[in-house]
This record gives sequence, structure tokens and C-alpha cells, in this order.
Amino acid sequence: MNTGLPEHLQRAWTLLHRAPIAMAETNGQGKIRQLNPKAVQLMMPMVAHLGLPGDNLLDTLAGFLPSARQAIAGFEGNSGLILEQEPYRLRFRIDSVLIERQFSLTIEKINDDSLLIFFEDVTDLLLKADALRYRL
Amino acid sequence: MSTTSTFSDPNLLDWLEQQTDEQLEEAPFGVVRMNRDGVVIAYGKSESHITGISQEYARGKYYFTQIAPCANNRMVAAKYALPSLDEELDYILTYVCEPIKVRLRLLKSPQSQYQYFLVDRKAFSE
Repeated sequence: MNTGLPEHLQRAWTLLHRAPIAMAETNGQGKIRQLNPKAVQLMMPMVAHLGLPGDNLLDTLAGFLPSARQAIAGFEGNSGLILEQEPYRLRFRIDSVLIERQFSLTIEKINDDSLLIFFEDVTDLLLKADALRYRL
Repeated sequence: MSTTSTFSDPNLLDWLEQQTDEQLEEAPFGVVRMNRDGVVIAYGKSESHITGISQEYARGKYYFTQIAPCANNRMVAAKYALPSLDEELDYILTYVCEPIKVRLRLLKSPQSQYQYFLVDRKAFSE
């Protein structure tokens, strides 16, 4: 599977590798320390659209949701949830095709030098929920 | 292996098509050979060093859903729906959870038996 990892970390790697939610740990300014493949999958089209180098997740997310950076700057606790499942809409182009998606964003402060960032593309979930309501 | 080609060689697809699976696995840059359904046929040693995923684990699996979900988006995986593809782009892969900056080259042609996902880490190593 993943070479060089002890067995218990192999199992953790499988969870992180296949998780359907984007997860990342950054420093206090948003510089990425670690992230899972889903985070790369969702982040890279935003990075390309904004013309960023891709090493700062806050710069990328704030390009679409400027209030995220303000929420972090205004958070006064030493640790805790800064944003919880905050909805936001992304509009960007890939090869001149307009993409519009609905995202959900959670940011937790671990300490002054560590943020956990979770984000998810909930577009399909919202469409399924609408279809379910329509059937009812 | 016949004379080794380079990552940005304009005739790289022709060279790749002439290599056996075993020869591709020794290529000096990351090479993933997939069939037209996206199933991994050959997974290069260089690719394995970049991602940490073993060649044995990768072979026979769907590349964009089981091995590299990080590239399963419109920027990369969706491009393979095109009949012909030769594109280079900057991207990020993960070694466990560590971000690794790479240069990708996506290759296929209507005549080619396979499609290819190529990775060059050296372009970002300095």
C-alpha cells in the first residue's frame, strides 16, 4: 500500500487517502503543512483560477470567501471553532467553462500556530436533498 | 530500455508506446500507464517514490479514484475524456499528507493503446 509506514499508520493513511471531505492543517497564516488528496482535488482548480502558488490554503479560500480571513483575525480564543459548516458559493472558470459549486467550510484553531481546515463540495448533496423534498 | 526520453520531449508519447511495462517502471520521471478505462497497467518507481504508493498496490486499480483522488477533477482526470491530449501543468501530489509540488504532463492520442500521467518533481526541486 503506502511504502515505509508501520501497519497502524497504513490504516490511518487509507482513511485520509479516501476520505470524501477535504482536510488540511496549516500554520496560523494558512501555509499548508499537511492535507489529504480530497483537499488537493478541490483546492487546485481554485488555485489555478486565482493564479496562486498553492501553498497557502487561506489565501485560496479567502479568494472566494473574504470573510474567512476576517473570522480568523477576529477570533479571540486560544483555541476553538472559528467557522462551522459555513456555506459559500464558488464561481470560477476552467478552460473557459464556468463552474459553479456550493462549498461548506469549517475552521478550528488548535493554537496560534495551527489551524485545522475542513471543506466539502456539497453541491450534489444539496441537489439530492432538493430532489428528496420534491418527491415528498 | 531504449534511449531514455525527456519529460518535455515532443515525441514522448511515441517513446512511451514503445516501452514495455517493465521498462516504463524504470523511467527517470514518474510514469503511470493506464488503459483507456483508467486502470493502472504500469506504475513507475519514480512515481512510487513521490507518492509512497507501492507499484504492487497501484497495478490493476482505477487511477483517479483509487490511487490519485487528488487529481480526480476537471483540471486533470476529466481531460482524459478528450480524444487527444498533451498538456503540462503545475500541480500538487501528496506523500502521505505532505504536499509535493510537481509538474504534470497528460498524454494520449487516438492512435495510442494507453493513456499516460507523467510526473516531474525535479522541476520544483530548487
